[in-house]
Amino acid sequence: MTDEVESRLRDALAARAGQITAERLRFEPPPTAAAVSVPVRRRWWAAIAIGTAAAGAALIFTVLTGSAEPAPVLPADPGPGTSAPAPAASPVPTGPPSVEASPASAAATSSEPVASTPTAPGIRSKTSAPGTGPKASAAPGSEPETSAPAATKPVTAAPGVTPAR
Amino acid sequence: MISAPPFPALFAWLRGLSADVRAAGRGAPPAGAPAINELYHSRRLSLVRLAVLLVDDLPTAEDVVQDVFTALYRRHGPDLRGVTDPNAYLVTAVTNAARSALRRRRTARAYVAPPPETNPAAEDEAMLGENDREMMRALRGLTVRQRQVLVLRYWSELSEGEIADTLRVSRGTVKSTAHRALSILRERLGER
Repeated sequence: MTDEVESRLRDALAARAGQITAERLRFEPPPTAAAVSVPVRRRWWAAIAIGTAAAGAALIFTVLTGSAEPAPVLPADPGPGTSAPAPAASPVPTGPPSVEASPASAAATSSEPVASTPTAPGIRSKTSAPGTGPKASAAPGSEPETSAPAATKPVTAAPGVTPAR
Repeated sequence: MISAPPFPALFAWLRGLSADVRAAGRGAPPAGAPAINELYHSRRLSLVRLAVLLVDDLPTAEDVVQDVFTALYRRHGPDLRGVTDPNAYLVTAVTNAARSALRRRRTARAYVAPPPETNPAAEDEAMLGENDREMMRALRGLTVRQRQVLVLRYWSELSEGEIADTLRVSRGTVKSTAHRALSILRERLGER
């Protein structure tokens, strides 16, 4: 009895398996061709994602550093760069220095406190009258002339010049 | 003058990426892939037959076999590195995948009506003799484990030890499962 069931089972399994032939199988690519496309697609997506993340990080870094830099730059720009808006925009906080700095040229601003404090009346007359002419072009190029010792000596020599006149 | 790339690993990765894209565009397998391709062409039909005996319908059996080969390629590469016995590996993988497919189908049947293609095609049924159809119907009423044991034993002609290794159970379990399955078949076929 057991042998009969086993033989029947063996025959039935062989008959069922024999129905499956190579012609009935659908076309499937080999695993090497079928599996390559998926990792490549994944790697492309990974490359795109990494590139997008890098671009975003660079953008955020640029925005953050860009917003941090203009804060210190903006106060510094009106001083040396734009001479016209500086006196108009800041007459209230720097009242006395701006009055003395406005007639002088932009290049001589660094030496103004030194030269103005010792000889206030002499320099005013000296720098205002001839400084606007040809000496104004020579003054920015030679900074030692506007320094404290050099500026005071021509002032003292100025009375010497007047007798020669 | 071309200077050295600042990120050699990045450039190597990009070169590999472009090479893979070229290979995929040509539809040609990468170099050194014939091992798994030869195995695929030589063993696919017999594995589909084994899967058909386990899951009944041909489309599911083809899906099972294709998934097994794809997983084998992804895990062990085209040269099948680390696989000592590819045939035994494939039989085990197909058996497990068929079991998973039957489990999913059983879960789906609990919620929706079974699709018509999960049963053998009508012409396949008609081509079988009456005794074979009766036996296949009785076989379908067994549990998955009992069916696996009987198919591996009476169609794949595996020994009890090989079946035990394939199913990762003890030989005693194989023996008792086969005995119980044959008893059930005997009862059902004797009733008719």
